[in-house]
Amino acid sequence: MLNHSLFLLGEFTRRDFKGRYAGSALGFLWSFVQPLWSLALFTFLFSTVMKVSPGIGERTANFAVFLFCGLLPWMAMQEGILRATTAITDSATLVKKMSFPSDLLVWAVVFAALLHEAIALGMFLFVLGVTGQFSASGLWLLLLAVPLQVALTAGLGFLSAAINVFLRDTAQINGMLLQAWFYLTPIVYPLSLVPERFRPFLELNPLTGLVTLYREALLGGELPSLLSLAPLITTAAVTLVAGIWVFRRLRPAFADEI
Amino acid sequence: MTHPHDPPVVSAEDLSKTYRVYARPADRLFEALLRRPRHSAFHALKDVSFEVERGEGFGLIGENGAGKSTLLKILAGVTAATSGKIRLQGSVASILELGSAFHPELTGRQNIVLNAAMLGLSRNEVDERIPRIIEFSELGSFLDQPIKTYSTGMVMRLGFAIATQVEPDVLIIDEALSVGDGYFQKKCMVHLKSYLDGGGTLLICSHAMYYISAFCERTLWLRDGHVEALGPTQQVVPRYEAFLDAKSNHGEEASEIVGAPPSAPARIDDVRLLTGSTYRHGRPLELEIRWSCDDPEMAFHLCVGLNRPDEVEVASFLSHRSGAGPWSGRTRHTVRLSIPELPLVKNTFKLYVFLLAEDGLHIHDTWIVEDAFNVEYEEYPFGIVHIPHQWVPINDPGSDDG
Repeated sequence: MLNHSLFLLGEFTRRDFKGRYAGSALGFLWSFVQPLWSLALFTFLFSTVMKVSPGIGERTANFAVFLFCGLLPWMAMQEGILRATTAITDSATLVKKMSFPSDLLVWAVVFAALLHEAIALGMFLFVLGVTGQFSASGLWLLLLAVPLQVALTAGLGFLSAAINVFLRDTAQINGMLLQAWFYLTPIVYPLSLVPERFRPFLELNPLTGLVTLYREALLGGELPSLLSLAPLITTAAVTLVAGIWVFRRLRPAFADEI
Repeated sequence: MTHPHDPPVVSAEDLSKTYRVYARPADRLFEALLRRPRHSAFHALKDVSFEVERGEGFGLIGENGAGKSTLLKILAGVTAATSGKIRLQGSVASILELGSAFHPELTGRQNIVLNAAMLGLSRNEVDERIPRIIEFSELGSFLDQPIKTYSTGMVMRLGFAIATQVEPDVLIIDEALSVGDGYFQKKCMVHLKSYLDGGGTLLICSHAMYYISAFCERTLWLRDGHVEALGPTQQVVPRYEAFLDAKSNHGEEASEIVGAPPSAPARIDDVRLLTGSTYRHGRPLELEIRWSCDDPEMAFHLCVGLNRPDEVEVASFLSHRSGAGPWSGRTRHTVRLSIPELPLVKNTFKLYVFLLAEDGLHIHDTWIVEDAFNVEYEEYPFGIVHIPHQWVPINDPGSDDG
């Protein structure tokens, strides 16, 4: 049974991945171009124009490198959540006409987003290697960061996917919420730049922990204190359980509602 | 192939489905989460019970909106019944809409894998069956093209090929029999027959009584969500047809008959009534049917139907039931139907000639002769048929006055 689910999940992920680039000239290359584009824009805006620099206590003085460490998990999460939101409604005919575990549709887009991140990550590590900034000593931290990121993405994805079947506004709302979440996470700026009195709120943001974990992992750092990771770990666990619970509870009504 | 001691493969007990109609979409969300009613009800199915035995062909008929699709969706596991019990033994594959599971950007081959996986096959089973699916679909070099470049007929061929080659214990088909051209339809029907003969269980929902009669031993007639009739197809289908007739849907039946396109592999060239357009009681009636085909290997049966102008079927003549044919070995055929005597007393009659495939099921071509012949009479006869009879006076001594 599990075996079959994995096989089906693989096929759904492939369907998603291939379906997206079908008919485009650059195709698969877009998964390189898009992160580079964001990187270039943000670097120009925040580093060149607004003179933000990673500052003291960060592992790198290069803004682009600093930014990309945070951009990697962020882009995968954003893509995963947004595409999961419409995963069920986009496959309305499938859900209405065939009997299959529809939660795999959500997992598939979450993993497809992870696949894109892996490609961008490979490219990033290559650039770090060429410029002599590569360090393998922290890479093991990804074994902690990636599962937490997947749990958080999937949890919010399941929640949004199920609710979006009944309220199509969810996709719009999610777009706005994610925009806010991006700027309230120290991705384009270091936490040290945030005024003292707001800092505790940002530290409660689970993504702060995730971004920190990525920077430590990719720039040869160490395991951050468990206290700083607590918001990430608890939020990831709670959203995954809650998301799956809500999804399962609403699933029997999907075929009748879409 | 029915085994009376086995438990039924499908057993439905008092199935009901109530669709909830909501004023606002959000009401549905609140209700599903909070379990507090916020809807008005629409009863799509009411206390439907039936059982299907292993190896049985089971038909589902009824007008549009009678609940057929809802019932099939419940059986296929797509939606849940509001109340009642459903039990299914073994694997189930359903074709509720051929090709609905295909992704337009993926190639035919990639879609085969995805679709077969969704129907429950493992990777090994998929690998093993792919060649058979490809062969059955006859899509050839198109298989590595994206599905979006396919014609509707090609998509349906692929969908049907997958669903049948998956070889489920129970196959559910919803109006999917009109697949592709006549040749492919025939192939599908032959396949479904052998699937049934091999112990497979088939549930068909169709508006074509011809298919229901060909495949199903028993039929369930749904009307406004409840069981109007359930029993042998031979009994249920005529009742349903009579019901439709009563609703004066005369035109519908006739419109199902469509002549073969000029490119068809076999077509009727001519039908001639050798005995002329006037029939006199006691004389024979002879009909000559000519047809041609592309492949001398093809074998044919014929069916001739005699209808009154108001489409009452008066008589039918089927070569495969009278032990004649099948005819093959040539590309041009002529067969004569001889009827020694017609017991008809009056009226004008219409002839339907069907050129059938070897299995006596698939129709290659249809030829209709309107006003084929008129029955002459000398004195106006009452009734429809002439029945041989005798009048015998009985000399009963008890009633004799003299």
